[in-house]
Amino acid sequence: MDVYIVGEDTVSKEIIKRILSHCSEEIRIVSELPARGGQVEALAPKFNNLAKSAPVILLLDSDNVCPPAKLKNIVANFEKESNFIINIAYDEVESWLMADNDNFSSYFGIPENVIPLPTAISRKDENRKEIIFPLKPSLFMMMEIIPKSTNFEIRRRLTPVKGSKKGPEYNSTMIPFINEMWNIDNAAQNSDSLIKMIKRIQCLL
Amino acid sequence: MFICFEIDFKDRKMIIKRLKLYNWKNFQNVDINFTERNFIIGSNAAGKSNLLDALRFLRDISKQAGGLQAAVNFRGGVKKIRCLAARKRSDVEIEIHLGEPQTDYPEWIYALNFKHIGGGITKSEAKVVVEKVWSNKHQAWILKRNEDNEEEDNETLKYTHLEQVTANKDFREIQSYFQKIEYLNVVPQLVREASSYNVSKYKEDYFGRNFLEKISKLNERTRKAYFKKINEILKIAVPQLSELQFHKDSVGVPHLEAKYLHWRARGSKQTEEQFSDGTLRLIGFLWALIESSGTILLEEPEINLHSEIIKQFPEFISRIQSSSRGNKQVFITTHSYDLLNNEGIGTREVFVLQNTIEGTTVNTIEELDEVKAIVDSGFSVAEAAIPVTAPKNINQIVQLNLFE
Repeated sequence: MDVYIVGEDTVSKEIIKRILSHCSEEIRIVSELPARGGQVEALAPKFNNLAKSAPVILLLDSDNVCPPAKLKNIVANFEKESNFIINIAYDEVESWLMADNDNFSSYFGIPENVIPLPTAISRKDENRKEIIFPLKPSLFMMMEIIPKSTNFEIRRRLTPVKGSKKGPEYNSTMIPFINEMWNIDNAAQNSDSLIKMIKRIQCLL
Repeated sequence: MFICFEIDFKDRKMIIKRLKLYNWKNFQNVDINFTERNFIIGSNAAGKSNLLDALRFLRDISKQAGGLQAAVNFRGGVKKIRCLAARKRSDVEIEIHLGEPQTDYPEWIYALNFKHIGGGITKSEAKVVVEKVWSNKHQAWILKRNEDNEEEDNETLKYTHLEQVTANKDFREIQSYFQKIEYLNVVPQLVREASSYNVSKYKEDYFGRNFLEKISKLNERTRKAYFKKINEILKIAVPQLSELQFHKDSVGVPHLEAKYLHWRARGSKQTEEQFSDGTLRLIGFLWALIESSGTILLEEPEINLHSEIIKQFPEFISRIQSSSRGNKQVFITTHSYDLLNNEGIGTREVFVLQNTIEGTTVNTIEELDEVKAIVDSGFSVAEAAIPVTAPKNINQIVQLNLFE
């Protein structure tokens, strides 16, 4: 099956690719479309048009907006095609990576109890869990978690220098983890939004 | 009453409508339909420059003191030209269709097929296998050479009829058309280097010093008129430079000179040695676009230039094309998102080069369904096509353990 993918940044795109290959080896990515965070809403009608020819898989951070409200904003002005698959990570895609607590801790050399434990997000269904971070997850990761790493190289690569938003080698350090270590099944146990994305992809097949 | 119009060739717009290459460098077998403005994109080493080189090759055959042997030797012999992905056939073939942009038939077709002979103790040379010319006026092939013809021998087959003025008199329009193909890749470092003209083996191309040499050959009135146009553009793009002009120093070496404005009321003079890389390249492009009356090949015009200047290029080229009476067909190789992110660029104007094990393929966006679908959904050609030309695993480049 041919699909187009849309991610806000390199890490999101790698996560989409990894999830797709996790779900099926039959999926071929035709092209990666550009979209920065703020552009997605403006570009959404175009993605929707494109979904008429092949599935378009979009992955966004919810960024402090509750996911249903965010989704509503994106599809506010058009009828969503069934092949336009919108996925919203709670609260950022980095949460999904940290949701695989064991592998994340061992790969980045941090004590296991540093990543917060998941909490139930629904009163009706206790199995629906997410990790609630006190800060933006990526920021919490770089400011609170990575400094506790025993690996100097990891700390150097991922700790932002003054005035920057991410560590100097952020993408190239996160991508090998995504591709080689990240266990999607483990992570899904701790993230309801990740489970939903996997289910949506499985429905496509 | 009948009114007869004599069509003057000089006024007729003629473009390269179609190019077929067989075994040419990266291209094992391609067939491309060109338009007046052509944007050629592809990853590094996809063959963008080699595609332009097929056109330069025809120019080299046609130019004065050129010819098939010189054109082949300059490229290191037939063996260096031949496609590495070639299978059984070892000959190289170029077929080109010239005609008016609006028609769907060619005015001329020129086809040349050649191969390598010699080696060992005999001289390595190129040999014509087939040379053909189709004329729309005659509705026939007016030249049909074949290596098996009785009147041909190894000596005659060393030369194309295209390069010989006595042999090409029925189709000299083709030769003069090819002679006007200009390749532009101004290298600022070479322009500054006064001795580069002497060492440049490619006097036709605007690589370096020869660019200034070309300017010096024009008559003064024309030159002034062109400089006036360039100055108007520079005034906007590089506001601190003004009054660009040409002069020869006391020993006859050509120079560019302009006034550099600063806090002194009159500013001070600068020559090309002090111009920035971007300024020199911009002047080079403007000059070629204004001066040329034929086909223009532009190699990556985005280099050294500000993205806002680059964004103007597609419309600027279109404007110049529509306002000139000549041909001015433009071929641009580019990696620039800014250049392609112009909504006026059509899906037939962008040519995507893709590597395959059978050599490089060339398709317009129109022909690539998956990319066309993106454009049809409202994205620009840049958004649609540039991701397709990116190497698949480019992210891995920073993960290599080169430094540990």
